[in-house]
Amino acid sequence: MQSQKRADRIFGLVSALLALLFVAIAVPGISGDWGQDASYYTVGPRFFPYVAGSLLLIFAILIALVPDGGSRIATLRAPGVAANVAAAMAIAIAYVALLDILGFTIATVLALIVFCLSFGERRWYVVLPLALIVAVATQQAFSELFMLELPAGRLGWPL
Amino acid sequence: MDIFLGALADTLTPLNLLILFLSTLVGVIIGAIPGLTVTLAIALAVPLTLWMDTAPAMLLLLGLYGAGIYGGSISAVLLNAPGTPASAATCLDGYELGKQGKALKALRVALYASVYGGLFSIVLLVLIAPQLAAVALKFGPAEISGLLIFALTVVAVLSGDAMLKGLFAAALGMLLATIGADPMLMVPRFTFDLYALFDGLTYIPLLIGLFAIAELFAQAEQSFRSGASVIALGKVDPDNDRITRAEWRLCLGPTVRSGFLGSFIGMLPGLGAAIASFIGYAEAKRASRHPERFGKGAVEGVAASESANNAVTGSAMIPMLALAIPGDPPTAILLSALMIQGVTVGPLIFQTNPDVVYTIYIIMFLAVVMTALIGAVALRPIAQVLKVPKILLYPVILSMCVAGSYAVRNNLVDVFVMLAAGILGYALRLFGVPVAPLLIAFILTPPFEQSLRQMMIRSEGSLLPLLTHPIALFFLILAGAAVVLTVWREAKGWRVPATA
Repeated sequence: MQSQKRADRIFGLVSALLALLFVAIAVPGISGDWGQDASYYTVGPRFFPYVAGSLLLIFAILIALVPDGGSRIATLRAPGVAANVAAAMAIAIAYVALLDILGFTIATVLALIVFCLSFGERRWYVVLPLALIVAVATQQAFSELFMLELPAGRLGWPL
Repeated sequence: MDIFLGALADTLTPLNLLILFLSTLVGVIIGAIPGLTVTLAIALAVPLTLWMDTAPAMLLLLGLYGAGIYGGSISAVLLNAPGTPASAATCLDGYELGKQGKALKALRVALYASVYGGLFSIVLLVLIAPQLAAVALKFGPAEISGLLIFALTVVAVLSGDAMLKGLFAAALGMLLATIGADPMLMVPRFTFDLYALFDGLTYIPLLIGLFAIAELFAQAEQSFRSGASVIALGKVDPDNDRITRAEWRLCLGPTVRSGFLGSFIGMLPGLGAAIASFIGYAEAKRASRHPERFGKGAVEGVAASESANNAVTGSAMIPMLALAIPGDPPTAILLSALMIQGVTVGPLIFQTNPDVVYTIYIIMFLAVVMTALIGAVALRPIAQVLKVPKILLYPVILSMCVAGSYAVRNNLVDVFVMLAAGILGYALRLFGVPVAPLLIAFILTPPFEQSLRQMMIRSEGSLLPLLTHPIALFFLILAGAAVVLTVWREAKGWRVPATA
């Protein structure tokens, strides 16, 4: 419980620091020139970000001061758990980054194969057809049935 | 009457009925698979509605919504793992019945109770929503601001285990909603000179990230293994499968009471189906002459839980339609889907788009009927889906998330937004911060900012109208009461299950 509360405190402090930076640096960066006329009163575009940022700052500080111990960050300490999550994130990031280059179909086939192999599904006769069918079927369904485009990539469909 | 008949004719086309059948079937299946929630299903389906008219779009989404919550009972009975959080209370007696060889009986009780709860809440929706909208039409900026402060506060304090974290999530949602052009003066805020961010963060990538991608990362913790064994639906056994007359009588009272309780809870922002099912279950146990049977395979426990959670579906639409205030993540997504369709939800919808309102009523009714048919006929094949390994399901979901996020505006920035939202959603889960208040605050912030600023412009910068307008003050008092009650509840150590 103590380690969970410590995690809550760290979360609160880091969030408070980010909220403070938002209020002190990001919000004043919003343009103050919105063509206001002295003849009428208006509330500017900085008002609401100040409200949201200040509320975030207050609640983050309160979380740091009164931790409830509801954090489950400790689950990441179990063997292999953090590595699994990191692997899933890395695959997802690489997949999205490759969309612009390879296009949806090829990037999806690669991502699905790597995903299945990374998490223990090594049966090629399952993984390969799954990746191919899902990628091609999704691409065709979106473009032909729903008339929605998917990234073609720099190589262009079907490559 | 002409408008109703027109809506009925528009809805009852062969293509629309096919869409309803497919969405209901998929809703039951997704609801049945632990980890795949109704919210996730609706979030993934929203991009598909971009090419549709309003009626088929609503058929798709409401079919998933209505059927998904019932689907959760299937895995609750067969796996002892609720497919959706809304069916967590169903596990308590449903799985016990399954172990006793009465799984089919438990699933039939769940189906009938779900149908009753769903239909009862639709009747309330039809009766209450127009009356509430008529009252809300008299609201000015101060009253709307007060109402939205109340909604944001209640959603934040009631959505999870810890009030402070709920409030933190709501504030974060408000902050994210300030990205993009200022709604009144069109001054860009936090757009980093990216044209794609000028309209702000798009709903669909954000909610797909917060719910679907975050769930994928959470499932990765266990390498997408389920670890549970499925109770098989064996051969037909009339003695065990049939609901006896005595069991019907046992279930009647809890079903009716839970339908009422679930409908009431559904109308309140932030509570949702999971809490409704536990309260319905607890009330059935309290009122029972044999409370000791609960947790050991009491059919009335299953009936109470399922009637309550399905009663939330219709009643949660009441504040969504009449006030444009979504009570839980699924209705928040439905609200954004209607906005994408160009339908302005809120008090005026009953005057400007009565056809859409009637269409929603009709679709919700049809979705319940279709769920009943599918549940009655196709339980055995649907139960087989529980055997599909998660490692094969989640990569498919990942590709659907990417396709859906990109297709909204044909923009890769949205896919990166989805990914960032997924990482944020997973990080928030790790620290026990509920995600529902974030999403609902994100959706409510633009109208809140607009009404608050309109009020302040009229009062030359003063917030006093919130205290001098009686209705606004009433909502502020209610919001304060919700905070005080929650502080008291937390001091007593009571815990509320998180909403989906």
